Amino acid sequence: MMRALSARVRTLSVDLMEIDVAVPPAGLIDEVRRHLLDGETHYTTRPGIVDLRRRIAERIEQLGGGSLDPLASVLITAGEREALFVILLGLGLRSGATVVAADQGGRHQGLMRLLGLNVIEAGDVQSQRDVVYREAPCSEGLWPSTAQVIAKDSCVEIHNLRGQLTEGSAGCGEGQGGEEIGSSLGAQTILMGNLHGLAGMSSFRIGFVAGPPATMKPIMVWKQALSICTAAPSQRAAIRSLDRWRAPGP
Amino acid sequence: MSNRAAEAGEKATWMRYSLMELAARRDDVIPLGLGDPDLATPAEIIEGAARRMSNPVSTLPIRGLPELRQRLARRYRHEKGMEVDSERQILVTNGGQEALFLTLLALVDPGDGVAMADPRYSSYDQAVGAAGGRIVEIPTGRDCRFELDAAALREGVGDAKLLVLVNPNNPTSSLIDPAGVREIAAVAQERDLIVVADEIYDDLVYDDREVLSMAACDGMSSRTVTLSGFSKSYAMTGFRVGYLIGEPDFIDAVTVIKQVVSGPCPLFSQYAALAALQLSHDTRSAFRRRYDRRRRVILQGLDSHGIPYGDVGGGLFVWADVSMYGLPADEFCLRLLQDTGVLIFPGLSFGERWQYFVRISFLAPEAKIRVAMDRLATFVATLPAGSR
Repeated sequence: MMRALSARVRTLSVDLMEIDVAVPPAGLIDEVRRHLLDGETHYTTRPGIVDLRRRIAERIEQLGGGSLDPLASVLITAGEREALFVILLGLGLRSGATVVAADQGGRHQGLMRLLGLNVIEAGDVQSQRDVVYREAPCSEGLWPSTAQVIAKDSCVEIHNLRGQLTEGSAGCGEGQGGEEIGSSLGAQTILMGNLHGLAGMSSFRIGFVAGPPATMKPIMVWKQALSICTAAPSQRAAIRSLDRWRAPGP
Repeated sequence: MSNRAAEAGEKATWMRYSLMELAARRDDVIPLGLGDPDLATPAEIIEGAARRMSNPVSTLPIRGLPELRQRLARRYRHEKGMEVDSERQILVTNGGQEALFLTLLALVDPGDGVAMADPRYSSYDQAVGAAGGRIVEIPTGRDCRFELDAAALREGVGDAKLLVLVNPNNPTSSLIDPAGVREIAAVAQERDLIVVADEIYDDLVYDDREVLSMAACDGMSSRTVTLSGFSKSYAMTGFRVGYLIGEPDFIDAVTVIKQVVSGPCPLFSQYAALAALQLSHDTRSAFRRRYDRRRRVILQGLDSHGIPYGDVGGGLFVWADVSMYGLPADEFCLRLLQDTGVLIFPGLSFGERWQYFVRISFLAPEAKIRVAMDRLATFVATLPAGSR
């Protein structure tokens, strides 16, 4: 079957990953189990369980990212990789589209190559670019400063927070230290990241995308076309983990 | 990336979801639209996954848990007579839909033809579009059986590189018998086609009929990608576990794609799939018997009004022709929902030719299906019968 492989995959070479599995904390699996036994075994709402989307919207707002409608602006994905994939599909980028990104796309170089995107460094930017992609931590903090936003008005900017939505203390952004956005994000800014840093969450594979409703709509359509929805047990585990992170109990 | 195939698929999917949104506003709806089994996931599956998660493996490989792949290989050997190397020939995915998406990215270059039966599950159109492919429709519907047959394939396949064969079928639930599968296999070899065999409904076959895996046909293992999952056989849609079986070089390639587009399937879900494989065959048989009873209720209801339907050899749907009422199916479905609360999907959401067909699922309790058939009777009594 080798001769039948597509050109995009014949030229793609990456080291295969293994995820380190953290043992889930006591109570997490019991919570997931209880919801499953109560019948939460079906497809979830396609963009994700509303309670989880709401919590992510709240956390982004807490960090100064502005108020988001969780229904129209937040999507749950099967990890950070799927988040970026559906964003790029949703933006309708064709092979050859130009992406401004450091390090050839950083941890997502392989995806950029798979899609045939033309990745250029910020210093190479003259006029044409379709998307700006950056990964946290960036040199000036968690959120992009005005100076870092290269083309806020003319193209979409994807800001990959990685696991930083849940790093530091849950109260950061409310005067307890930690990073803040400082200024509002651009009207075409899309945020993405993962929740793998939460205790015991690495193997549940939860990512997210947040952005303006009009931009999010096609991204949500592609998520549905790719994998319908994200696994219900993983979403339930994320809700519980976020709650415990925000209000640790005994 | 986006092209006509993707746009058509998106429009068709939108049609289904618009009806579902309308249905969500009523509290008396009997949903016979979506392919999401209403039955409970067996508790042993949930308990088994929870137990294993309390003492999990230390690393999760991108291809999926070795133990899960070994169990799958054993099942394919015992139940289908296929020799599958669990190390090199299986990839676990986030459901069957991701499995197809990844497969098309691995095999389809821009402009390549992808042959599919018409009507078809339109969400696949978007995957074809993402890969830059073009859909080559193979017509079905002769004698109202809706099986893809070798003659139609030979006539219509043109220069397509791939055939996506869904058997048993969605939306029509037609089942291609073993002889028909072998004939299609012969065409695939004659035309040098790769076959993507979506066999996710293969546990749900009725009337003592048999289903033959395409990869089990002589000479086909090297040119077949088998796609399946746990959603339908075990009522596990929410867990999102599917898998691909194919030649080692294909699995290597599609694994690389999976790594860059999503990463490994969640461990809890994989443990649930493992627990499912440890259940006896009786679990799947019991599900099938329940679905079969429901199927018969729907068919009796349609028979009582003389509404024709396709042969329901397997799967979870009835594909019915409502042209005798003179209403296009989208209007038929909308009015049925508005007037009676019964949700079914219009044929147009599965292909442009099917404006007088509807898809009815049997994924509601038998008692509710009986009520739905009563409501359907009341509804069609208000329509002027007569051929369009």
